[in-house]
Amino acid sequence: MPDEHRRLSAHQYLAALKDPAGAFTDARLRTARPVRGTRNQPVQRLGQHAVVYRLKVPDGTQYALRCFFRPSDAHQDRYRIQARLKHSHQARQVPELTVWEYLPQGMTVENEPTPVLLGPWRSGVSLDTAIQQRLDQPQQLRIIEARWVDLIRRLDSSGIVHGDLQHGNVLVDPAVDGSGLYLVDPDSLWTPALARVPPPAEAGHPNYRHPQASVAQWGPGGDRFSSHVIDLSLLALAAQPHLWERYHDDHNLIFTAEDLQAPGTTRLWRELSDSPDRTVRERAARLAELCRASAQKLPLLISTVKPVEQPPVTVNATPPPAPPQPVPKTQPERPQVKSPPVESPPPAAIARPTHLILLLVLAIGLDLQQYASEDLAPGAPGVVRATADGLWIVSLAGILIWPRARPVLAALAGGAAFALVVMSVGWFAVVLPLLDPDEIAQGEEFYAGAAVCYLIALASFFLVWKHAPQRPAERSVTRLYLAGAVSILLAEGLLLDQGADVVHGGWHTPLGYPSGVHPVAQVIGVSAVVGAVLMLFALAALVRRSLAWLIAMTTVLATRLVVTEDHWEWRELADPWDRIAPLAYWVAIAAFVLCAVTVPLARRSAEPQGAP
Amino acid sequence: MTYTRRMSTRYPGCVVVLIDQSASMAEDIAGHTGITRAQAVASAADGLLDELVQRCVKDDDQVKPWCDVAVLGYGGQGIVSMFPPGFVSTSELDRFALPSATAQDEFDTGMHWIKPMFDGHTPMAEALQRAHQMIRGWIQKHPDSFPPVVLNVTDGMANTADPHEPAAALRRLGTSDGNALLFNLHLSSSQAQRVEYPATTPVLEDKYAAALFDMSSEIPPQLVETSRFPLQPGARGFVFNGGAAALLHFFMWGTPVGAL
Repeated sequence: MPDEHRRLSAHQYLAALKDPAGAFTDARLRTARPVRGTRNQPVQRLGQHAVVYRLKVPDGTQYALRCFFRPSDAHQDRYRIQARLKHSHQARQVPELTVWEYLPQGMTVENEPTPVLLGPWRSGVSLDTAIQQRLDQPQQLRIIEARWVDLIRRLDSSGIVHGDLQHGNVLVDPAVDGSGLYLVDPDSLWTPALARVPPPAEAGHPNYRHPQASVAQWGPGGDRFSSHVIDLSLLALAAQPHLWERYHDDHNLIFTAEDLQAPGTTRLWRELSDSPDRTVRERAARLAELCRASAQKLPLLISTVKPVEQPPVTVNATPPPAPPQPVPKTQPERPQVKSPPVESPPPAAIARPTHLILLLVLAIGLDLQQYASEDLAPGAPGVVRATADGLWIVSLAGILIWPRARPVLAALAGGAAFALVVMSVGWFAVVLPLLDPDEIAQGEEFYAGAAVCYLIALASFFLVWKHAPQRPAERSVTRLYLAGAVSILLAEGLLLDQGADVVHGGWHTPLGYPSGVHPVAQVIGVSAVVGAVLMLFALAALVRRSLAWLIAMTTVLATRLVVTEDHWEWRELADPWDRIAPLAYWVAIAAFVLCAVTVPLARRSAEPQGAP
Repeated sequence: MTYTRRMSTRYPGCVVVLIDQSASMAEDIAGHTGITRAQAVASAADGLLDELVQRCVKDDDQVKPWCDVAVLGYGGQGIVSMFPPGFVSTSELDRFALPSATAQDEFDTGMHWIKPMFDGHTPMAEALQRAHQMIRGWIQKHPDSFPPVVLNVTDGMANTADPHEPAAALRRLGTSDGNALLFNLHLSSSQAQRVEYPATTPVLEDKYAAALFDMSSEIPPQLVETSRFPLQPGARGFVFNGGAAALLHFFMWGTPVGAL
């Protein structure tokens, strides 16, 4: 075994690199030559524990060879276990993360076999240099920020912790889509397999870590604080580029350890709280809050940086088994306020594929149940109803598993419900007769309703398309939602077009529901107005981002209720199948309204204990 | 907290290397026949400067001005600054390299800055005074930087004037981040026991030992923690009777690369 106290310098490694055939056992490296940099020396990145060389083999492949200054220290275990990530499911979720191969006796240095790490060479500049190059292009900074949010979300859900997120360990490669991100440096990397391995010597970079951070917290959630420091820095610099000149100092972005230790009080904090960008102001206030919170509660507290409320009840409004609650991890909810669509970050997704499958089964189940009850609304309208139900369930699923798009979906669902109500009962029909009966005879309200439908269908299409997430599972749900929304609205629109020709004297709706008497139509008309108001709330939530998800849920459920023709009479319905759905909706609405009132308070009081 | 400032463009660091160039430096260094102490020191100092430059490389292609470096030799010719301006920033250091005798290849730039020299007596006190002047000026420009570090390498004792007072004056200088640090290394070819970073006055027959120990700064706790070497609390930045390996360690350790 090599000497425990063996120390090697960059010069010794470099000397060994002169003879790659003698130095390496790995066939890939036996012809490798170091690449030269500007100083006409081999490119080397010197760290505290290791030096990284850039090697090139004749076929053009470039490797990063990481050589340890203390090749035999106990932390070697970490690297050995980390290397198992290489073909893992977790690592595939985060292709940006550099996974190193551990070669236990990979290199012969001064006649002794020496462990090294081998990874792909990542080109690009460090995050601070990238920012400096883009200070006059706030759009570009926002694109990086959006990618950062997306990357962190996937990293968090993969269960891998980088452990040392800071400007030097984030590379921005302009060759990849303008600003592709890479995470390098494996020294603090944590995976669940490392749970029993001693932590690294340092708990991340002082200018990025929680004021009370310690290595004892090495593990899940370890990236949350630093990722928020970086996120806020990017947003702030996009809005106030002058901060760079004033606060950047080679070893930070804009925050320093002193700022993080004195949350809210330093000059930087004051500038952020006066930012012209509302998001920056809000995020700064949240980060300051996190700095003040105890380091022990760090992972959970960080998760409250964004409203990451976990739905306290499930929304299984149907007989099938309860869908599992998707577990929202942290996800930055993004204000859409200033950003043009291209800057909007891909929405966060947190559900596992199993959740999605269960939710889809739920949707299909309800769909079938609606088919079974077709006798309530025979013929084509029944199909439309069934589709409508599927749509609602899928929107609920989307809202649950897709927290950052919740307000968008809520607005969409609210809008769709509004349109549905307008179409099915002829909200205009309630008003128009008072104005001009002749106009009604020509079916104007149906045309108006159809127009609204087409408009909303079109708007939804673009909205959801723009926000389509990148992971396949979420994309499927999004597309499904989209397809559902568009088809139902188009169907309704078509029905309305035809409805113009339909006799409407006896309050026959295009859906064919025999709503019968005028007073009921008025009630439904009022419900439609409520639906519209809720939709506006959801839109407002989109901007304000407060309680967005609760309002969204309530909106969806309430508007769903108004399009269920039997919501008032569910008790009198003979068939138990017919009773269950409306009953479930009532229960769900009650639950969500209750949550809307109590959860924020509960969350606030629970925060100090770190309990969500 | 002192000694926590990281070196950067705004707050550059400061390293001053003092090299004994008296006649006795012509002797072989312990453990390596045919290599004079002067050569060993020059080569170790070159390694230090090269590492400093390497550590200031950003994005593989830019050398950042994160640290100012001065090298003073003291010997028969008095106090000689290796770089005409006194301090040279890491970003400029390559320009001051000596023309290389060896052919450059892709593994060795042949970067050398220090010429091995030896002649005359040992004006250590004067060298410390000169360093004091330079550092005082530097601190006025950089009052909040990581404090200057002075690495003094000698093979004997000052024989012109008592260096105690200049050394103490040097250690009293400081920035808002702490006092200047003076670390001493004694080179020898004798068989006497080697002492590295002691916390208490070493019991040695050599009269220089106690004197150099007294002149050396205590290593600040912040640096003990981040040191790559196991150090006792209260250890002094002092190596007695070190050879070539100790010299390399001394330079590498003494340079606050952790602050880079």
